Amino acid sequence: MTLDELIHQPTRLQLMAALAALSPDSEVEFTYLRDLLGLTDGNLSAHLLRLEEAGYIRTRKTFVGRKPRTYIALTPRGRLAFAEYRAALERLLSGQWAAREAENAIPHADGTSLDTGRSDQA
Amino acid sequence: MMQPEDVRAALVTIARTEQAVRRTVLRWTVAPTLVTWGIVWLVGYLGTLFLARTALTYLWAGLVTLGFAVTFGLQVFYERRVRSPIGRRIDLSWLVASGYLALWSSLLFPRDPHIASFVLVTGIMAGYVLIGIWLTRLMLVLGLFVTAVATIGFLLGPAAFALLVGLLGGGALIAGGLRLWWSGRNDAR
Repeated sequence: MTLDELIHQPTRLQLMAALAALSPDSEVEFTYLRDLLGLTDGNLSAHLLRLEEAGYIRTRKTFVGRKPRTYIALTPRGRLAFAEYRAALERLLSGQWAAREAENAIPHADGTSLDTGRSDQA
Repeated sequence: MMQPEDVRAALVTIARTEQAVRRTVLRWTVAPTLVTWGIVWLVGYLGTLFLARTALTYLWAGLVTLGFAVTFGLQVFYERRVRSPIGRRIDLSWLVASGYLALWSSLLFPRDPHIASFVLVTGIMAGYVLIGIWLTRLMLVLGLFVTAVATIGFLLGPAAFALLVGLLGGGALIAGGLRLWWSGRNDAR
């Protein structure tokens, strides 16, 4: 099982989670994400660029009054990648638990087992 | 090989970020709206106890206009930061529901403002309960509480209704709004 390394980086994980938490077709302003995640302009821009290159987000530049604004949205591809990443994490966690339980259930030399109820699930 | 702790940390990061987004949305949209309409109800219904009919008509017209203006202004302000088609549909749904409630209560009970007010207040609270079921428990609690207060007030008579809905109903909306605002204070907008 492999995890999407692009999403797994902590800051990009927060970015993707924040965008995925909003309804599909929503877009957020650059400063909203910056303030929400406590990032600098440069740091946020660098991570957004990586995600945009992968096709996970799209950006739109516009003017509100005289002020330039950048809006960011998750693409369908990005939403799918994030959902798969999250599902992979959950599978990994349950798998690791199962593996640990199986390890604990290995019979000792004297024939006893640490796990009394689930040793058949290895 | 990833350790279970790393996997768990990533899932916690996701959950915390989602919660921060939800709180931020509630803080900048629902909280100020609750406080605004809480003040409208508090002033309006307490005014019902002390003012003559003509003055009361002007008071309510002014308060409702102010309420819608503030609500609309807040949405425009927030739309500059988060643009959501679903958010726009929810706002429009509220406007439509309020319009229908006002239409039904004014046409069905034109000479009985006591019944008309009860229909309006409990109709809006039905909306709160529905939102509460889907989105946030606070709205569910508020909706049920104000419905109970309005029902008791309705059974006790017009003066008790105005007093209870003004003080407890309006007060509950203000308190609920402040609570939402306060709970999201650590999350930036």
